[in-house]
Amino acid sequence: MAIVPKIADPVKIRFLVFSALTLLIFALALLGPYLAPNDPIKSNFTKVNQPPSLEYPFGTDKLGRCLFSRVICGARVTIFSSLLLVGIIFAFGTAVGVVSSYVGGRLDTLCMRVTDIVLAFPDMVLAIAVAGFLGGGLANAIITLACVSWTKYARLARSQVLGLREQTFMEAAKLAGNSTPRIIFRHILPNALSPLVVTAALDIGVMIIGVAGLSFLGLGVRPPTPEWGAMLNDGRAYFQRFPGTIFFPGAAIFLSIMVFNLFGDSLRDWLAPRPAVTEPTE
Amino acid sequence: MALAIVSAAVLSIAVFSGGQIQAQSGVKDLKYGSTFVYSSLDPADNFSGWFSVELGLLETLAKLDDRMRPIPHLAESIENVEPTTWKVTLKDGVKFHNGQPLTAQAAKDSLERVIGLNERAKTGLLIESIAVDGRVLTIKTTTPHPTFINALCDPFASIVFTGELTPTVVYGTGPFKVDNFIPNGNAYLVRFDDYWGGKPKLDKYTYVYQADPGTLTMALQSGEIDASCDIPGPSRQLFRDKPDYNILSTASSRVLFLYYNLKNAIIGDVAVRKAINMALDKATYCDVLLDGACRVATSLFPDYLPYSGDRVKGTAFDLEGAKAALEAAGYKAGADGIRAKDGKPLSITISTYTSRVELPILAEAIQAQLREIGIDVKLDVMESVEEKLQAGDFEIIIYSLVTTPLGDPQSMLDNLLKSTGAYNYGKFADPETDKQIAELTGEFDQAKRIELAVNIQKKAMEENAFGFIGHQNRTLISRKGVVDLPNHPSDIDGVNAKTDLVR
Amino acid sequence: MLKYVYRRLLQLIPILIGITVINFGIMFLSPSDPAERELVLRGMMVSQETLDAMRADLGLDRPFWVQYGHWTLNLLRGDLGNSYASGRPVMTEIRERLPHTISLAAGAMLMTMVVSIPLGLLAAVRQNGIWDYLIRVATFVGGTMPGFLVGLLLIYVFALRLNWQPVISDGSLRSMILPVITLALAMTCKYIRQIRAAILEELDKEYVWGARARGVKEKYILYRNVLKNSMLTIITLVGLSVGYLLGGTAIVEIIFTWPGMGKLVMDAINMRDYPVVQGYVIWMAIIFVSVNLLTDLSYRFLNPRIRLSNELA
Repeated sequence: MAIVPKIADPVKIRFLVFSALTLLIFALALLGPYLAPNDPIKSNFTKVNQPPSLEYPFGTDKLGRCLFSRVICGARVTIFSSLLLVGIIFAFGTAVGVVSSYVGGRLDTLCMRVTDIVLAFPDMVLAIAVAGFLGGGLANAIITLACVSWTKYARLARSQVLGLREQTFMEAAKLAGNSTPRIIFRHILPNALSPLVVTAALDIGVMIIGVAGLSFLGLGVRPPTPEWGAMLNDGRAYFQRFPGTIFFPGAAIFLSIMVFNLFGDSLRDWLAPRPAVTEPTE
Repeated sequence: MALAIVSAAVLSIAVFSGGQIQAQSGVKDLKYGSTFVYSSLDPADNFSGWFSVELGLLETLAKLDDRMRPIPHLAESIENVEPTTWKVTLKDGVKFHNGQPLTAQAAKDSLERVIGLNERAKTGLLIESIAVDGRVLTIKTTTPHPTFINALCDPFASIVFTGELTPTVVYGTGPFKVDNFIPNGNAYLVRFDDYWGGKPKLDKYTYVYQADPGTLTMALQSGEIDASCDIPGPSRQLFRDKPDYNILSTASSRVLFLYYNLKNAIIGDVAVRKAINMALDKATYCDVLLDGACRVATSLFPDYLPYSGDRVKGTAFDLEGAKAALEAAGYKAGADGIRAKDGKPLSITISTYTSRVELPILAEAIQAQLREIGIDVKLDVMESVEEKLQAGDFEIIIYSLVTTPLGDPQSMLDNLLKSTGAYNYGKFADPETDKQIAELTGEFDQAKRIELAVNIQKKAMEENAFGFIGHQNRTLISRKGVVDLPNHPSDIDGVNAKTDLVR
Repeated sequence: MLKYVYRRLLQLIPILIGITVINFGIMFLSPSDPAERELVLRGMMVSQETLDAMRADLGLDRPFWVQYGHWTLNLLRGDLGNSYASGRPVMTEIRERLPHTISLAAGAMLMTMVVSIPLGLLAAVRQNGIWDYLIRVATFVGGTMPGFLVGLLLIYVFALRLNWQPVISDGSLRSMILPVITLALAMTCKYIRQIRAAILEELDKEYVWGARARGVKEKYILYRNVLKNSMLTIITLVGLSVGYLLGGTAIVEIIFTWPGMGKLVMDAINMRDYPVVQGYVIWMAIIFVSVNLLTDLSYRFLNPRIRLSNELA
């Protein structure tokens, strides 16, 4: 008994298809360690730089580690850290935006000044500098990217709330004697959420590029942790003789970003059919 | 729209007008690529002298021949008059790049300047006083100094014009003079027509700095550089058996090794050091991971030297033995396989640097291998580890040094094994070793010197104070047409007047 | 208009102060001790006494705000301190590198404009035709490629295999082409899609229908009205892209060894050369803020109807 979607609604079908693909990637990332045929960090010096084979579907790298296992397990690192990041900036940014605009006054001014200041730095510039000062490591990379990316949500949430505040149902809710947290959670958030969720969905791909980009520059994960950007950087010195060192992690990054972007687009179309000018992709 | 078409046209012209990279002009400009970068040309600054000699900018009074024996170079003759007195007669007709003649006084100024500024130079040369008379320098050493002539080969003893000298403006006597030098970047040199050894065949020599070995490899393939010694082992295959390239490999005395910080709580434990040394599968590192870029090292000096090989025993590879050694020393494996003693996990940081292309690969391999015997390793790969070394702020650093830059073990034993040695960053200290090194310093008899050199290494080997991995095969890959660019086993060499570029 | 400019400039002051505080503050995140660093650099013994002396010498023992004030005053005089690695003033190093980065970013912007406006227009005019379809697919794929992947591919194909371009960029116009394409690709794809959408929206407006009904030539409508009115979208996009461009240069400069600010900062990070990192951040922020101000002003100049109260959105 499957639920048959309305055939007449291609937007919804697209959304369902891409949701399914997105879930598939999550499943892969989650189950990666169980699907991987070999230990991704175990090196085997007798089998370095091997071409693809049954034992090593993508071949091996310079230390004889299974590239397939590293790509699969790298999904967990790259994708989950991006998701975690989006979760953090979404929650934090939204909270700042909603609370400051609802409370208003000095708090609002202060919060907006802070976002102004953070926004005065180009994202990657600040990220590179902070990561450079903190030193490498995945946790530091996540902290770094979170520090520079939350402001977008604060801005968006704020403008949503300002729009809602004027509406009659809010007045009604206030007059009915609801407490502030109740108003925020019951009345504001549900109504303000959809553009924020769309932004978050589109941000997954951006954060993948951010995490992989920092690792590519040597400011992200440390060896031997498998991570796609770091694997690409590793492969640079070897790809002429062993193209797989670049091809497989590169394809993994490309495909996952594509799926997340398609998912984000379809989610946007489904929630709000009107196209909006968003920030250029990073 | 019109604007768009015009711009597109301009852009496409820019793309295609370049044609081939190689300049067709008649200027012979040899471009040498390297992953190493220097901030100064002044031989008194740290190791900058090596750089300036490599550039054909500076020269020393004596130089090592192909069999690592010191022979006079800027000097016509060097004689040991008494144990503490050396008589150096300069060649006639040598000129500095600014036109000034090389006089005995100029050589004296240069040597006195460097011993005042550089600690290695001071302890290496042991000069007490210099007297000058015409083209003759009479140099008195503080103690009998049998290897004084070897010490004169060290690039820090390069002869510079001291009247005008900055990190970027250096007048030497070499076949090439500085046109432009960018600190921490490229160096551009031009022919010095008044060179005493005859007019150099090349018009220009350009040192191209490129930190990334992958890019360096591609630059050699595309013809942007003509030669390099820093192509990583696994990439050398791209040039092997290709008619357009020549590969010249030499068994260098450069050793890749681990500095153990003996003052560190974990690494200070000899059992841990011994276990790590037993766990290093050097043969695989050298032959497989580095594709023959190194030969297995059991001790400090390469096997072909009389004070090395079988006479100095190192710890052999034995993975099970390594585990047993750790077990016996009280390091018990936990659930995750990482060992711990008294609740403290056996977790260490290994640092290394990127410019020596073999080291980052070695670091990752060692990390993987130590994991197998239950040691958790964090890696810290950076541009330079000098700061950490000098501050003593490390556990293990993978490093590399040329062990016989001067054709004699003296300077390396002095610097590495003496308790006050300039490179003794791991703080190895043994009074007996110090005493023997002092003995070596004054010993003129060659057979006794070898005996002493062997004995000096014993204690450090017993204590596993270092972890020796491999001796480098210095490999110069050049495009066809590059002629007489030497690849000397001492690592101290570079372009000379005979080097040529034949298209 | 003047009053608005004045107000916008006034708003900049707290932002600039914030930039300097953050920039100075991140120095405190670094695990390395500048005093120790200086000692090693001068070849002096590292001990507690020499460290304390050096700290006092460098003013590191003073309170945060005093150090900050000192640093800011120097900054106003154009003094960002000396690089640890080369010993030269940070300003000198930046002055050498900044033009390279700006030309790279400007080149990427130019290329984006030159490519995206005609293609966006084409896709919109031929909506749902084969060109539209091709452009949409291509821009989606191109927009998904991260810069570091594009860069590696380009360098392999054009520099190594075809030998059209140098592997090591020297800062010349010719060696700029691959880095510019790498930097511009994702942005161009984004622009094409946005411009297409903006033009489609514009084409659907009543005045277009009216003009068509009056028999005005389609070309005339397109170039004289529609494209002109879509300029606002393009300016908005430009404003939003500057941050991406400035940040994106780092990865591109590393791949192509382009001698710009990104290369400078990555080398500095590897050498723990913190004054240079600080100089990089402050300069990038200042450029970013200034360009944003200019976009805002030109936006307002082109479209005076925008009310001040709307500019927060």
